[in-house]
Amino acid sequence: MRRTKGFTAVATSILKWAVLVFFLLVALLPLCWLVLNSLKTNLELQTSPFAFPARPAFENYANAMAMANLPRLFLNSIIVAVGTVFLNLLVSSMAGFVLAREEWRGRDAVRTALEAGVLVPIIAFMVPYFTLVTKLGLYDKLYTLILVYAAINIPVSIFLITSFMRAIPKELEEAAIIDGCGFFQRYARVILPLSRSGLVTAGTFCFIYAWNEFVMAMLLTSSLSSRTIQLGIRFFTSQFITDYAGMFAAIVISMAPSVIGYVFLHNKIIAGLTAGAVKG
Amino acid sequence: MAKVELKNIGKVYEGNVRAVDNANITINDKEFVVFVGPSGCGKSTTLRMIAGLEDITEGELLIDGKLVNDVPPKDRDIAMVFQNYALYPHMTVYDNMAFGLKIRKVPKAEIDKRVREAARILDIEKLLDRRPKQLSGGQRQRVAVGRAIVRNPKVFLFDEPLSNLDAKLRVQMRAEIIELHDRLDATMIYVTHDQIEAMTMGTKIVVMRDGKVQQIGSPLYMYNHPINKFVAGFIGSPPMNFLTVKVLDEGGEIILDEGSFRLKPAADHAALLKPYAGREVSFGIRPEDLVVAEGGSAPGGLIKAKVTVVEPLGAEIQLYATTPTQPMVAKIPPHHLYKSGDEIAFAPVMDKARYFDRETELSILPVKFDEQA
Repeated sequence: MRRTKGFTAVATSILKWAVLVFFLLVALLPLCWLVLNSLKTNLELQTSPFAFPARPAFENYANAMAMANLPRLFLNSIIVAVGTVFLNLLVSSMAGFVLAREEWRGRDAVRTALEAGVLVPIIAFMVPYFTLVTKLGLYDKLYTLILVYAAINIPVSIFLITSFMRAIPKELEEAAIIDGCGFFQRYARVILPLSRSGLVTAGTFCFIYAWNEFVMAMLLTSSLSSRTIQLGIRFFTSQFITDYAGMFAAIVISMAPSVIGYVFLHNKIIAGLTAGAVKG
Repeated sequence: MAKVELKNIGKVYEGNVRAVDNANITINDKEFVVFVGPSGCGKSTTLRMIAGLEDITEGELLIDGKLVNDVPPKDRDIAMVFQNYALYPHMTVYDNMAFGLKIRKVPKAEIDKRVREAARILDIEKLLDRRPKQLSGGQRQRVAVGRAIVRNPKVFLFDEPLSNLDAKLRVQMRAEIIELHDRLDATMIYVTHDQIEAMTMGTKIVVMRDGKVQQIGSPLYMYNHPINKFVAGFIGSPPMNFLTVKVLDEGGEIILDEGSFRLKPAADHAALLKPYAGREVSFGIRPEDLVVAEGGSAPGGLIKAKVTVVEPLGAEIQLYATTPTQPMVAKIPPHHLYKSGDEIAFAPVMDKARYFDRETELSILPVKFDEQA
């Protein structure tokens, strides 16, 4: 009887680990393959795509940087991502404050409408955004991407930030009122600093989105001056030849900021996602 | 100078829920007034209306003779201490205390002086660089009080500031707040549901129930002259005993008949009870006024009862007893050795007895609604 019980436990454990390892492999294998191949020559890549490189070809990275004007694209992406995060957090935190802390008629309806934006696929916005951007004369501008990315992320950010702001005790705001704070001071000096975790979470999502975005960037820009790194990678492919090794190196470089950002901030992100789940 | 006057103040929430009804309270300069009552009696709402955190639906609120109904909280020159301290978690103790002054653009040197002075008074000088989460409950409460002190306001408002502290700390902080009142010579309004806090701290108590002010007066006046059965039962611990008795007019002599015992009221009380002849009234007697009858009789008569529970507290005994139908509690000296099931006879101090109309629950003996009025 005891042996059967022990056997079941071991079997369950093995099954559990097998499933976890499977998903880990599904997630990590392409990444490892990518990094590995970024260190091969183009010849090695084509002849033995799954073997280890005979000699790590670090020059792929140097080539990638030189070839596709990568530093410029990197800078563009940083400007877009940082600008998006700043603009998105500014707008979403202000909206979040009014939605979470102020009482007004129709508040819930407005909040639901804004948060429902999460459910609309971004692809559905392509035509309206393109029409709007070209009509407004904003086509092929770096700041257009900032505006569009910030706007696309507003529903998610508002959702995350309001849930944080709602958890702040009412008395803190009342203490601020008694201390002499007006509407803006309450937002800027009390509620905003206390929503830090929510802002970090929303900001990270926003950054990763802006950094990785491809479709809108392709749709709304054309010249090098407003090209982001994800778009730049596409230019490793030409009509007759593709520099896969260089492309892989460029992809690894492009992934670095999101991965590093997540590694440093993942505690805050998880806290942000589970805010309000339990009484703190 | 800070006199706070509430004239016919009322608060009605959405859905026609009336939280405060026609409150008329005058709080004189340098007074320590305690609003006391059970949960939901409107005491906190009244305080919040004074603070400006709630709109006033009806009536007038005056601070120093100036109508402040529509004056925002920051311009009322008040400071408030909240039940859960409401310290800003992202600021140090120093910044928490300085925040209100910074917002008001007080010069830095002046802020520093005031914060350090308040910290010295409250003995929290060593905590100035800490964050609230690094403090104990008592320390947090001190900081919350400090934040109010630095502002040097006309009126201090306290909203159940000690209810989150443990019993021992509560007693200590109670004494400190009283001392602070004496030292600052300021007008303070304090809300609590704890009648012991009200009795020990207030120079004046306002008892509230269901949004209505029941009675206003000094703690002792309230204790000895409760206006109705609710105040009589709320003020004092253990509460006053209420026994239903029938008033009998036996040839001009007024007798209180419970069935199992008969009592003779004090002469001045008897005259007031005469109109109630033939009806039942509530006979109220404080636990300390139930004296154990050593002999077989007493001028006012005896209450005979059976002991149910004996609680020796060291300095005294709380003794629960019951007549065939009605329970009561007595505070008796510690040398009495009673046990559960014993027969006991009390000689009530009839001069101290109170009488309440059974229907209106109002005191039959004349009592002022507002002691100072």
